[in-house]
Amino acid sequence: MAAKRQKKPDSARTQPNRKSSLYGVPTWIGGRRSRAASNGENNGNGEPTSGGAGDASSGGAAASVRNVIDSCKKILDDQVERGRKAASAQGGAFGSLSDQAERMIRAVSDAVIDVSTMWIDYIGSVTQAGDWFPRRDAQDGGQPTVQISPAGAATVDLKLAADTELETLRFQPLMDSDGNVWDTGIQAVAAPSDDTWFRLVVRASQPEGRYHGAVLDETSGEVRGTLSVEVKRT
Amino acid sequence: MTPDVKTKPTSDLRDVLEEYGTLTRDALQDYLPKLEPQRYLYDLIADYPARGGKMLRPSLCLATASVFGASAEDAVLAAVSIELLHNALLVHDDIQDESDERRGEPTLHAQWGVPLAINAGDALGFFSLRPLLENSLRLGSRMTLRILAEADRMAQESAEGQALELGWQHDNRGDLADADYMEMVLKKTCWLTTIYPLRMGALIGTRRARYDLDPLLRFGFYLGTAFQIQDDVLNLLGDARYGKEIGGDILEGKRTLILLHLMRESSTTEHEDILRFLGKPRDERTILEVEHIRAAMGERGSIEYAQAVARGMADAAHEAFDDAFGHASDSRDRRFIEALIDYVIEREL
Repeated sequence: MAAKRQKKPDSARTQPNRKSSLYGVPTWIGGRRSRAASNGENNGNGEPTSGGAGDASSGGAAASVRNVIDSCKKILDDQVERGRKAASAQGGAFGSLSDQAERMIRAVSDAVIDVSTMWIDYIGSVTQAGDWFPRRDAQDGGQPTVQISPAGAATVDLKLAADTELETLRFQPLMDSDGNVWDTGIQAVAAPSDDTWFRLVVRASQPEGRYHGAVLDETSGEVRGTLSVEVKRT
Repeated sequence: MTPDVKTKPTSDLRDVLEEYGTLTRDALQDYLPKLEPQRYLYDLIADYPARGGKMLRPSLCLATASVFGASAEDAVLAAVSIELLHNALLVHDDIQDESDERRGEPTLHAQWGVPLAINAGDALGFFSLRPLLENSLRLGSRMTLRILAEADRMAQESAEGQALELGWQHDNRGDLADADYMEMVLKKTCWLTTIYPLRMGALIGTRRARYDLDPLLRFGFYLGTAFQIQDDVLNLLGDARYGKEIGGDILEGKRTLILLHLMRESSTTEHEDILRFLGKPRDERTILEVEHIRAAMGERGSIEYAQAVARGMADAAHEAFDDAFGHASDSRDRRFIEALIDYVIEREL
C-alpha cells in the first residue's frame, strides 16, 4: 500500500540548473525513475513506494523498514539450514553424537577438573611418604600437575562424573608436544561409594611435559573427550 | 530532572571494552614476535594491532564465554585469534578498497607497497590459528576441533561476503535489493564481527560441542547488521575520529544500504548517472562527484532510511538477545552484551 508522502518545502529554484549537473543532465532533483523498484516495493505503476527525502519516519518508510527486517528472516533460516547441513556433513566428528555421548564428554572433562580437587587429599598422603607430592601450578590455571622424584613410580586416582562407566571408555596413550608417549596404565579403582574412579600410573622415568590423549568409546571408537595432565620433575 | 539512564550502562560498556581489550592486547603480544625479517614482516604485522581499535570482537567473545561459565583465561586465546584474523582482513580490505587511511594513519600498503602488505596480511591470517591450537591444552582436542570447524564456517562465509561486495563493484550492479545487501553483510561483516565471537564464547563456556548455536546466529546477525549500517552512516557523516576517509564508500563504489536507497529513489536518468559514476575507474571519480552523491543521499532521505533500518535491526537484536541469553542470570558481562545493541547504532566512531 502506498503511503502518503511528506512534502518537501518548495525549492527556491523553479527551473533545472543544467550547469550544476555533473553528468550532463538535470539530476538528483527531479522525478523518480520509472522502472520497477528492485526492492520489491513496487506500487504497480513502476514507482517505488518507499519513502523519499526526509520521510524515513513516515508510514511508507516504516513499512519499508519492516519489509527489510522481515526479509532477514528468510536469510537467517537459510543460514541455519546451511549450518545444519555442514554439521551433518561432518558426521561422526560432531553431528552424530548422541546426548549420552555428550554427557560422557563432559564426564571425562569433569574427571580432569576433579584432579584439582584431589590434590588436597593426595598432598596429605604423599607428603607423609616423602617421595611424591602433586601440586597445582597456579600459573597454569588448574592444569593437573604431578611432581615426581627419582625415587619411584606413583599413582594418581581420578574420579569420573556420575553415571559414567569406565568399561565403556578406552584411553589412548597420552602424548606431549615432543612426541613422548605416556602409557598411563589406566585401571579401575575399587571405591567404597558409587563413584567411579580410575588410576593413572606415573613412572619415575616419565619425562616432564604436558600430555594429552583422546578418550574413546570402547565400542564405536568415537572420540568422547580428552585427558590432559602435566608432569614436572622436582 | 530526568536521570540520564544511559550514563551508567555506557560507562560499564566502556569499562568492559577497556578491560577485555587490554587483556587481549597483552596476550596478543606473544603472537607478534620480534623475529627476522623484522623490518619486512614482523614490524608490519604488529602495526595495525598497535593502532588501537574498539576491541569489540574479542570483548564479545570473552563476555559471552563468561556468561556461559568460562573464565577469561579459558577464552583469551580465542579472543586473540579473532583479533589477529580481524587485522589480517583489514590489511587485505584496505588493498582491495584502495584505502588511504586506517585508524587515522596511512594504510599498510600505502606505507610499504601492496606486495609486502599482502604478505603481512597473509601472515596475520595464518598466525591466527596458533592461539586456537595452543588453547587445546585447556579445552581438549575435541572442543578445539569443534572451534576450528566454527572458524572454517566463519572463513567461508566471510570470503563469500567479501566476494559479493567486490563482485557487485566489478560488475557495476545497479539492480540490487536491500535483501541482497543484508545477505552480503551477514557474510562479510556479521560472521567475524559478532556471530563467530558469540558462538566461540558459548562453546568455550559450555564446553559442549553440540550446544545449540542458532540463537546466537540470529542475535549476531541483527547486532552485526546494525553495526555495519551505522558504519556506513559514519562513513558519510563521521568526523576525524572515525579514522577512514569520509565518503570513502562512495568513492570505492560500495553498494551500501544508503546507496541502494538513493538509486531506488532516483529517476531513471539519475539512476543511470549514478551507475555511470560507479562504473568509472576509481582514479577518474572526483571528490566533487562524491560530494554530490553524498548530498543527494541526504536530500532523498537515504541516510535517514538507513538509520531507521539500523534501529529496526537493533530492536530485532533485543528480541534475539532474550532468546540467546534469556537463560543466563544477570551479570556485568550479560549487561555488556545487551548494551552493545544500542551502542553500535549510537556510536560516533
